[in-house]
Amino acid sequence: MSEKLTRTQLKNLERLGGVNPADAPFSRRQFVTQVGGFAAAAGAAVAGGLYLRDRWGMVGVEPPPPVTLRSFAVERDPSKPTLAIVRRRDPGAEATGSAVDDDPAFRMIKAGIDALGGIERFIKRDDVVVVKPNVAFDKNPDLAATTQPDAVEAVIRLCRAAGARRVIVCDNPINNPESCFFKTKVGDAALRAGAELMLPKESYFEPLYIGGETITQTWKMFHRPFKEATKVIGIAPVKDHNLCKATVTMKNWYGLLGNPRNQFHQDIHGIISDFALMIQPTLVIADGRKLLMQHGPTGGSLNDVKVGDTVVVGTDHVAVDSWCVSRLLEKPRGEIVYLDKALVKTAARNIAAADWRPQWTVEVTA
Amino acid sequence: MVWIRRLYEVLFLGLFLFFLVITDLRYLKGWPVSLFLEATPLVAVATALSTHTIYRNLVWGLLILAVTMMLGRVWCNWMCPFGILHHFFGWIGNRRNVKQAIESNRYRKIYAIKYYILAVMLVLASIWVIPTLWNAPREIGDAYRGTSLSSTGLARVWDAVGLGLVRAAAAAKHDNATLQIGLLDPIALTVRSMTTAILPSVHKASEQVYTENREYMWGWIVGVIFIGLLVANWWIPRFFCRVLCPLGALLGVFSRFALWRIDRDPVRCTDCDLCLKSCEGASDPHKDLRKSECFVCLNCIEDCPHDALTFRFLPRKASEVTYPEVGRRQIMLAGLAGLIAFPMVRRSGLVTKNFQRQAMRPPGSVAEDEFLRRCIKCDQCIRVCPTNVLQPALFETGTEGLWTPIMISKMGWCELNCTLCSQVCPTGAIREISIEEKLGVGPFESKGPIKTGTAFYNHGRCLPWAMDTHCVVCEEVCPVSPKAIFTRIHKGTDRHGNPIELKRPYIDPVRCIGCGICEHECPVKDDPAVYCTAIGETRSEDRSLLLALVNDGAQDLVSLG
Amino acid sequence: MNGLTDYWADLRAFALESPLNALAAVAAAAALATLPIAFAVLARTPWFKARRGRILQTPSFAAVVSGLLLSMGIPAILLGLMVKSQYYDRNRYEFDPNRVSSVLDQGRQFELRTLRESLEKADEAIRAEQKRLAAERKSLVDAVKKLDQAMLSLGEAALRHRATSDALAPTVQALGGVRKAVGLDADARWQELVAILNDPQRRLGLIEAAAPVVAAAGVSAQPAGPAPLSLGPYEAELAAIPAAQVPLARLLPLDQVPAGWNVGDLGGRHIETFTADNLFEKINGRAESFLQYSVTGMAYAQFEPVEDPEAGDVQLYVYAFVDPLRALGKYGSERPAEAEPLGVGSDGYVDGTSVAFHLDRYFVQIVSSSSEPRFGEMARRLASLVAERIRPGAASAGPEPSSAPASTAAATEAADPVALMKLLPDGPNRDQPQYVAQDVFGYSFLADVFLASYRDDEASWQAFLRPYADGAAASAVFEKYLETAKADGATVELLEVEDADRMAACSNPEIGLYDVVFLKGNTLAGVNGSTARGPAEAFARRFARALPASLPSLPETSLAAPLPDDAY
Repeated sequence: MSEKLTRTQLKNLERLGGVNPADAPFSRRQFVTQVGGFAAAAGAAVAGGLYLRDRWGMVGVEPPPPVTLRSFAVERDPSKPTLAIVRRRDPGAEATGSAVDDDPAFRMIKAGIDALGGIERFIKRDDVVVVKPNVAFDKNPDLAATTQPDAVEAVIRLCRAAGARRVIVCDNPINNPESCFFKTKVGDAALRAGAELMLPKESYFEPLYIGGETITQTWKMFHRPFKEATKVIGIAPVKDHNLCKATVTMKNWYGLLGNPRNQFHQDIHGIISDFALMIQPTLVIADGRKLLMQHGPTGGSLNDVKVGDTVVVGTDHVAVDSWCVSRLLEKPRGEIVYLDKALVKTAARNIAAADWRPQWTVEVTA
Repeated sequence: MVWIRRLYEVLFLGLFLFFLVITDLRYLKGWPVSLFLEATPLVAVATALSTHTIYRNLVWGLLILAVTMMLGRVWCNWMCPFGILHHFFGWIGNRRNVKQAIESNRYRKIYAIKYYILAVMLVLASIWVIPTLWNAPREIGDAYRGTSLSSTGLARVWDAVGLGLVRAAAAAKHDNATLQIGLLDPIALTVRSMTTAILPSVHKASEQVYTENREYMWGWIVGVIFIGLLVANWWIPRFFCRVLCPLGALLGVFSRFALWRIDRDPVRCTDCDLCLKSCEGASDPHKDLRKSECFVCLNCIEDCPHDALTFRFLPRKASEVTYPEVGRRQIMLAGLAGLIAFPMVRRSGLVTKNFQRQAMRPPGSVAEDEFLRRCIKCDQCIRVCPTNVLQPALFETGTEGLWTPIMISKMGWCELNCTLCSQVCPTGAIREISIEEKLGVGPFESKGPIKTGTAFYNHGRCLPWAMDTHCVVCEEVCPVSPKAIFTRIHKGTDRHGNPIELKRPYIDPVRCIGCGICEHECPVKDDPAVYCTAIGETRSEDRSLLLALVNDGAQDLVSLG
Repeated sequence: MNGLTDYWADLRAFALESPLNALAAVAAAAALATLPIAFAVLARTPWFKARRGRILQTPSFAAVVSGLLLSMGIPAILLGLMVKSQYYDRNRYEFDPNRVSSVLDQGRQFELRTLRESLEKADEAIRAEQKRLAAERKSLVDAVKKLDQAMLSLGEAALRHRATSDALAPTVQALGGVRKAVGLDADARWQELVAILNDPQRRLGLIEAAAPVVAAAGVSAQPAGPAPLSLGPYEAELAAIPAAQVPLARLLPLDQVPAGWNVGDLGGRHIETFTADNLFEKINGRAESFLQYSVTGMAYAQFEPVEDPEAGDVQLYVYAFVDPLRALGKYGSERPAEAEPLGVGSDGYVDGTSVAFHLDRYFVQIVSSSSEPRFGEMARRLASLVAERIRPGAASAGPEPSSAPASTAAATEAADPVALMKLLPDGPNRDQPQYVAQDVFGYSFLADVFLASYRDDEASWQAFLRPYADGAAASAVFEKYLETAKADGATVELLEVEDADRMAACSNPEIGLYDVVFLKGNTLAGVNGSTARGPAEAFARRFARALPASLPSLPETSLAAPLPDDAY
C-alpha cells in the first residue's frame, strides 16, 4: 500500500491485526472451486440449453409417437367352425315366465363357444382379457340398447374358469360412464363375476395409428386397457341405428374412440369399417336375445324390442355382423355399406376377414 | 466506467425503442426486433421447463445467463430497458438529500418478494414434474423390458432410467404447465405496455407511429400498471427491480457463481456509507456485499471517497452474502401456492371444455394447451399486426390467458398474405409459418390452409336474409379462392308485391379460414350479421368442425422429420 | 478479383438504397477503428488518471483494456445489427403466386447440417407428394367412370324423346373430352349411342317407336274389374283418400263387421291408407322391410268388441305389393318357423291370436292386442272376409285352386310363385318352402330364390330353384356360382348327368360343406350347404329329374334394388 492512510484507516488496520485481508491474493483452492464451479455450472446451463434447443420451432406441432394395437386373434383351426349360431331351446320362455333355468345367457354363450372349440381354445392361463361391452347409454338392459349384463357376466365367468389372470371391462360411453355402467347393470355384473371395471379417464387415451379411410393417421383412443391385454372379447347387442342402419359387434368398437368423435357421424361407414383395420379381436359375441328393431341406437321403449332368442359367436366381427344384420335385424345386407368397405379394406391389408357365407357356420340349440 | 455504463444504457434503451418503432411492416426488413424478448434468460428457463425445448433464438438468454454467472447481474443496469427506464425515472424524480438517499438504498426485507414470485411462476411452469415422477417407475420398467434398448447389464439399467424419464416427462407434458412469467417479466411487460397503451397514445398525439389509430381493449389497465411501476421509483428507488422482478430474482440466484464482484477494502473503508448514496440494487456495498442484489452499476466505486471499493476478480468468500435472503418456509409456501393455483385456474374450464368463441388465436398458433405453455404475453404479435385485429385478451381465454393475443374481428381482420405475427413471436406460441403454409399452397397443398376459425351467419340481422336489401359485402371481401362465401339467388316478392331478386350469402366451411374480414366489413357494425368463432381452427383436433379437414390429407409433410 | 468487384457493387447498391444506414455503418466502423487509438492516447494523459481531482489509485491495465473493449462494443453491436437487418426473406412480405414452389423446398426448409440428410428429406417429401398425386388421380378416374356409367342410361333414355335427344349431342361430346383427358375408353354401349345420335334415320325411328309405348302406358293403368266393393257406412270416408288408394281401402270388410264388434275410431276416421312413401308413419322402422319388397300401399282399420272396447283391439293391415311374388316374399320373411297353418289365401298361419296370409299381390296381417280366444276368432273371421274380397272363393279353399303341379304349358304364362314353390321335391324332414329375395346363401348375385331345408340321419341341406328369363341368363349365374365357390376355397367338379344340362359339385371338406348345383333349361337349381356329399348328389339328381325342362320366368326386375355404390 503505497499511499498514506488516514487515521481511521490505520485504526481499521490495527483492528484487523495489521494485515489487510483484502490485499491477500486468492488462494489456489478458491480459484479452482470458484472458477471450476462457474465453468461447470455455466457450461452445463449453456450445453443443456443448446441440447434442448428447438432449432426449427417444430417441436410444438409434433404429435406424440402413435401406437398400434396388435392382433388379438387366435390362430385359425381348420377343424373348427368360425361362426356359431345359438338358438334358445325354449324360445320366448322369458316372456311367459316358463324359463327352464335362470341363466340362459351362460348356457347359450357357452354352447356357442364350445361349438367353436371351447373357451380353452381362446383363453389360456394367465391371459389378461379385455371385455368390451356396449354400454353407451344409461338405460335399463331390457330396452336392448346396451349389452345384457348376464351375457357380460357369463363371458367373464368363462374367462376366469379358463384361468385368465385379469378380466378388464371397459367402455367409453356416450352418456356419463358411471351412470352407464350402473344403470345397464353391466358394472355390477362384471364386478360380481370377478372382473375389474375401467372407466375412461383422460390419461387413458393415446393416439392410435389406424391409417384407414376416415382416420387416415391417428386418433385418440381409450388405449390403456389394451396395454397389457393379451385377448379381447367384444360383446354387443344387436340394434338398429339411425345412421348406419345396424350396430352390432363392429360398431361396438366406436366406444373406444376419444373425443371429438361426434365428427365421425360425417362419415359413419368409413369409420366403422376402419375398425376392421384397428382391431382384430379374439372373439366377438352378438347377443341377439333381445333385438332393438327401431328407434336405434337408443331405443327407449319396450315396443322397439323384439325377442330374438339367438346368440351369435364368432372370431370374425365382419361375419358376425353380416349374419346378424340379414338374419336378425331383417335388413338387406347390401345396405350395410360398412361391411363391404371393411371387406375391401381388410383384403388390402391381408387381415383375415370375410362375409358370413364362406365361414364354416354351425347352428346349435341350447 | 460509470460513463461507459451510461453509454450502454443509452444504447440498449435506444435499441429497444428503435426495435419497438420498427416493429411494423414498413420498416421490419431483417431487424431482429424481438431480440430483447429472446435475450431474457427467464423466458428461456421458463419455456424450457414448460415445453421441454428452447425455441430457436431464445438461446440468447443462455448467453446472458452465462455472463451473469461470470459478472453478476450486469443485465439489470446495463441492458434491461425496463431497468434503464426505472433508473431514469428514479433519477428525474430524485429530490432526496444525501442522507435520505443513503437511507432509501439500504436493503429491506420486502426485497425478497421477487424470489417468491419467481418460485410461484416456475412451479406453475413445471407441474409436470409430479406426474413424471409418479409414472417414472412404470416407464423405466417398460423401457427396461422393452425392445427399444440394445444395451445389457448395468448400462441397460442406466439407459432405461434415462429413456423412462424422458418418456414419462413427454407423456406428462400436456395439460400440466402454464407460463405466467410474462405477467412480470420486465421485457414482456414493457413491450406489452408500449404496444397496447403508450404507442397508441403517442400516435393520438403525434400521428407518427401508425397510419391509422390503433385501439386495444382494456389497454388503459396495462398502461396504468406500467406508469404506476415507473412512478413507484419516487418512493422506493427501483421498486419493480428490487421487489417484483422475477427475472432479477432468477439472475440473482445465478449470480452466486459470479467471479467478479464489488469488494470493500475493510482497511480503507471509513464506514461513511456514502457508497449507498446511489446504489441501485440495495446490495449493501458498505458491509458484506449481497451478491444476489448487486446490479453492477459501479456507482459505489465512483462514490467512495477512499477508493475502498473495487470490482475485482475472486475476492474473499468471507466478505459476501452469496445467496438471496429468503425464508425456507416462505419459499415452500410460494411453491405450494403455485401448485394449488394451477389446477384451480386450469380447471375453471375456459381453456378446455368451456372454451369461448372469442378464443381465436393468430394463424400459426400451436394448440391451446401448448400455446399457454409458450406465450409470454409480450404482445409483440399485437404490435406488428398491420390490421389491429389482434387484441390483448382479458379473460376470454381463461385467467391464464390474460393479455395473450386473440383476434377480435370487429377491430380488424387477419390479412391473407401476412405472417408477421408468426415471425416476431419469440417463443413459438405462434410458430413461424411461411405464406405458402398459411395459404396451403405449394408443398402444403395436401395440408390445406391454416384456419383460425369459421364464419357463421346471423340471418336475423343479415340484410339480404332478413331485410330484403341487397348487400353481400362479405362475399366481395372474402379473400380465399374459390371464395368461402357464396351466394344463392332468392326470388320472391317485397312487401308491396313487386318481384325481388336477392343474393343471399352462405358459408362453405371447408374453404373458410376464419380470417374475419367478412365480419369486419359487415355493414351491421355493432353486432355483425356474419361473425367468426374459434370452432374449426386447424391448430388442434379438439376444436375441429369437419371430419374431412381433420383427417383429410392429414399427412404432416412439415414434421416428417 | 471478380468476387471483390461484385462485393463492391453490392456495397454501392446498399449505400445508394439507404444512405442513412450506410452513413451509420461507416460511422460505426470508424468508431471501431479509432477507439483503440483514442484509448492509447488518453491512457497516457494525466486527465484520464484523475478522478474528480483526486489521484489515489491509477487504473490498472486490465481496467483500461476492459473499458476499451466495452466502448468498442457499442459500435460493434450497432454494426452487427445493421448487417443482420439486410438478410431476410423478402417472400414473407410479398407473396408471389407465380413462384413455383416445389416439394424440394420442403426438404430445404430444414437446412440440414449435412447434404445427405437434406437430400433424404427432399426425397421423402417428393415421395409423399407423388403418393398424394396418385391418390388424387385415382379418385378422379373413379369418379369419371361412375359418371360415365350413370350418363349412359341417362343418354339411352334421352334418345327416346326429340328435345332431350337434341340436347344430348353436346353432352356426349363433352363427356368424350373428359374421357380423353383422364384416359378412359368408351364402352360399346356408348359407341352405339353415339352412332345412333349421328344417324338421323335411326334417331327418328327410335323417337317414333317410343311414342306409342309412352301413350299406352298412360291408359292401361287399371284393368276394369268387377263392381266396386262396398264399404257400407264408411263409404263416405273414401272421399278423403287418394284415388290410387281407394281400391286397396275397399278391401277392408267394413260393411261386413261381425256381430259384437265395432270398427275402431282412428281419430275421427275409420280407415287409414298409406303409400310406400309414408308407410313409416304407421309402422315406423318396420316400413323399411316392406319397402324392400316393393310395397305399394297399405290400408288399415281396427275392430273393438262392442261391450268392452277397452279389452283390446284387432288390427287389420292389408299390404299391397307390385306383384304376388313380393307378397309371398314378405309373407315368407314374416312367417315363424313353426306355425299353425291357416286355411285362408294362398298360404297363411296363425300365431297366437294373430293371423296372417298372402293372396295374389296382397299380404294381410291381423294382429290382436289381447290373447283372449274371441280375439283369435275375430282375426280368423276377418282373414276369410278379406280373402273373399280379394278373390271370391279364396276364403275357405286353403291351398289355392291354381296350385296344380306346374306343367310345361304353364311356361308361357307369368310365373306363379306358389306353383314354383311346389316344384321343390318332397323329402326327408322337409320344412316349409321359403322365398328369399336377395343375398341368398350370402351370395349377392343370387336373388329371388325358392328354397327349402331337408334333414335326414346323415346330413342336412337346402334345396333351391330359380328360373331365369332364358338359358343364357341362368348359365351366367351358374358360372358365377361356381366361380364364387372356388374363390371361397371349394373344389369344383363337373358331374355327368342326363336330366339336366349341366351339373357341378362344389366341395369344401375343410369346413364340411357341399353344394351340388345344376342347370336345366332356364332354371338354376340345386342343393346348398349339405353336410355330406353323397345325399346331396343323390337328391340333386332326383330333383333334376322331377323338374320340367323349362319354367315360367320370374319378373325381370330384381328385387335387390340397385344400392348406392359409394363404397369404392
